[in-house]
Amino acid sequence: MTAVHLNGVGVRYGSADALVGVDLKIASGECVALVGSSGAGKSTMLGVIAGLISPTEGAVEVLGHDLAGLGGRRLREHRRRVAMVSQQLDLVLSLMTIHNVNAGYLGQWSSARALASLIHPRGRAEAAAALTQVGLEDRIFSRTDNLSGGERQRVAVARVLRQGPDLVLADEPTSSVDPRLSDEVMGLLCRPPTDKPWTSIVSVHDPDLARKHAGRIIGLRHGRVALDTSSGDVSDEDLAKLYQDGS
Amino acid sequence: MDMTAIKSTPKLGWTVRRRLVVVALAALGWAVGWAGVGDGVVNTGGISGFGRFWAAVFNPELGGEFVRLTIEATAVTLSFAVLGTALTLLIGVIGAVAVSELVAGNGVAWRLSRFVLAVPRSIHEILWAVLLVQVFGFDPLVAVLAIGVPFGAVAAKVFAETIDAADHAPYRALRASGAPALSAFFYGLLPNVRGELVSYSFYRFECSIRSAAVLGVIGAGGLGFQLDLSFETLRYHEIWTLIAALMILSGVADWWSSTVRRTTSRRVSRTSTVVALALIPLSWFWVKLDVSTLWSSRTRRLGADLVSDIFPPRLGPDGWGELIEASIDTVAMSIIAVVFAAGGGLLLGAIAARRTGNVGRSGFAAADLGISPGHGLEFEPEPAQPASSGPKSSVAAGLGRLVVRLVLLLARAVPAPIWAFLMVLILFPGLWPGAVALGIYNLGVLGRLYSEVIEERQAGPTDAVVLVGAGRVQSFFYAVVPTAGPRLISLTLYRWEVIVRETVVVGVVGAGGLGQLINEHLAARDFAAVVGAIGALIVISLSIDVISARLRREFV
Repeated sequence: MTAVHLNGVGVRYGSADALVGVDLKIASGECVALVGSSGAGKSTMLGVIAGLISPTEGAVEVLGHDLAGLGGRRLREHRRRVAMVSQQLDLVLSLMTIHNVNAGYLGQWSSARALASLIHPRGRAEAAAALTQVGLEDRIFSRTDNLSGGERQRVAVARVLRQGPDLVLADEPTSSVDPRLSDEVMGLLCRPPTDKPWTSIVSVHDPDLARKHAGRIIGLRHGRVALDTSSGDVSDEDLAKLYQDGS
Repeated sequence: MDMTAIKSTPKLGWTVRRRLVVVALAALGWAVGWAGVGDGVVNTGGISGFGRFWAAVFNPELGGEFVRLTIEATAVTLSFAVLGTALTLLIGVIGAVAVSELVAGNGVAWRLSRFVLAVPRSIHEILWAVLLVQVFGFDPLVAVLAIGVPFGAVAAKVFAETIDAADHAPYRALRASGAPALSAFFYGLLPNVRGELVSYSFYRFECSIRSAAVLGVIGAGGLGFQLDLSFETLRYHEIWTLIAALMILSGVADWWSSTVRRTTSRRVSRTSTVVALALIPLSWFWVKLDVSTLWSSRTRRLGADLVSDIFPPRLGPDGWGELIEASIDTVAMSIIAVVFAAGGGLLLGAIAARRTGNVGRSGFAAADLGISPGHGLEFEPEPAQPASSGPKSSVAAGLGRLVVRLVLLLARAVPAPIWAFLMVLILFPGLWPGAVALGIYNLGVLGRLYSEVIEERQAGPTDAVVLVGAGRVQSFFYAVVPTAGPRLISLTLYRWEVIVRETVVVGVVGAGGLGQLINEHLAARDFAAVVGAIGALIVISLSIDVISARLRREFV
């Protein structure tokens, strides 16, 4: 089954092309690493797949939905199945860990229930289960700003686990952490510690990390797909070309 | 040095600072000229009454009966402030959602709601009160609404700006994962701005206390009302008892507010919030607030009457001439008042500020640290020693600060109309009593704000000039003012905007400007003309806002 299908997708910002004629199919359950230098179009591509950026041309189909025709209630339902992790993690530091984990589940809760949970936390068993999977079960009631950078990274993963999505989009989740932790986070995103596997698309700077964890590597250069191969077949020259200047 | 080597002295052009001084002096010169100077200003005949007022300071009325009355009146003023603040926050939160770009976007509805909120902001609490009294009579609701409506509009603007300035990434991330807007707001945004909102709410409470006292003067009850009664019957001893109560109330509110605003401890802010929330039902009970009055048939009838009286707003019997002259009076009054308040406030605020910085703090000079010209560069300032060194000078300085702080507290705790009553004793009617009264009151407000800014500025530059041997005054002008300058100027310009609106407060007791005109139309029950004059005031207020914003851009 196809999880993501990009068909001739282009994105222009004013006169600048961020993506040009991208054709791509990603099957369910794949872990894809997105590589390329800064400005190559990695974030734009993730934004398009997430439905946060509308392409100027082409069609985007995600989890069986054509994003252009999706709105209102159906869009919300679709969004519950897609999780985003950004470089900044988007955690709210003044909240307890459990609330940041439950934030992944807000799409399933009514606003009233969400508000009540801030006062008297709900879904403790589920949040605890998610935190156990990332080894943070003892920090469930700690304030997030008391956690180390690495622990926060894992809270962000626990939030994704709590959401239980079908598709995970992560934009350079490893760029601000040390190598050991990058390895751990990348492992969690590609091989979720859950019985319900997901499709993940992770943009990374470090090609070695991509090769080690992802099954497939897609290289972007000047908004075009310049490389698309299984991670076992990728050569050092291929990667070096990707990061070269000029066209 | 051979001076002939220098061909010409470098010329300094029109710097920002020079232009600011010229603009301020020109405005002041015009305002003073307009208000008039000479024999017609000071009324020597009233000096004995003025003297008796101050002589009563040390002899306040302490009879059991009057003290009980004072305590009850204090509770009423506090209750108005608490309930007014509660309404302020309610309107503020709902309004913020309507005018925040994040939540409401920036379409037509957003523009419209911004405009709708600008109007109540431009109308001073006291004008809300005089209009609401026509509908509700002398009901506690009047005070609560008069504080809550205009303050709520201000709070909505501030809250919206806080929300728009916050980090939106968590909010957007939650929305992207399918969370409803309200849930995303509670989880992704509110926790990040909660501290700022709590701190601003306490600042509003502090303002509400002063406002509640002013509303008392026009008959809403509480300390302001008792002050007015005692003033009219010339019982100066009672006045000082009431002023003491106001100073305590206002002082505690100010202290509480600045403690909450400066604290980093979550326990302090949480405890304060709980105490503040507990005060709401107590206040409700104490003033016997009955919200059903809001929709009673009498309210509806009188409200409809007032609306039909008001529309269409029109000029007073003397037409445009009168309105334009009163408008110019208002502007002149506000300029005199703000210059008076800023000058006095800077002087007293500087004294009231605790010493900051490593060198100046405990009052020992560079020489005490053993710096001699020989090893100037190796010296590294020691961290400040607690008061142990030089105890004599710091006790004197501490006492001086305390006295100045009390003077500032007195200036802002006594409502401006009461200062105006007092000024009318020694100044002939005209613009001066009102301008000076507003000047004194705002001196108290600005002095406190200035001292906070001075305390919070960077200490480095002051240390540097103290270490080269500069004295107190020199270091003040060479390091303190330049470092804190932009903040001080922008605070002053914001205050000017407030003072323009406050001119009605002294005007309503007859001290000139549009306020006095409004008061005359009120006495004639000519509500259409009242609203006409309020319209003129709104136009002036909004124009001054624009000028002040331009000046801030230019000079800050």
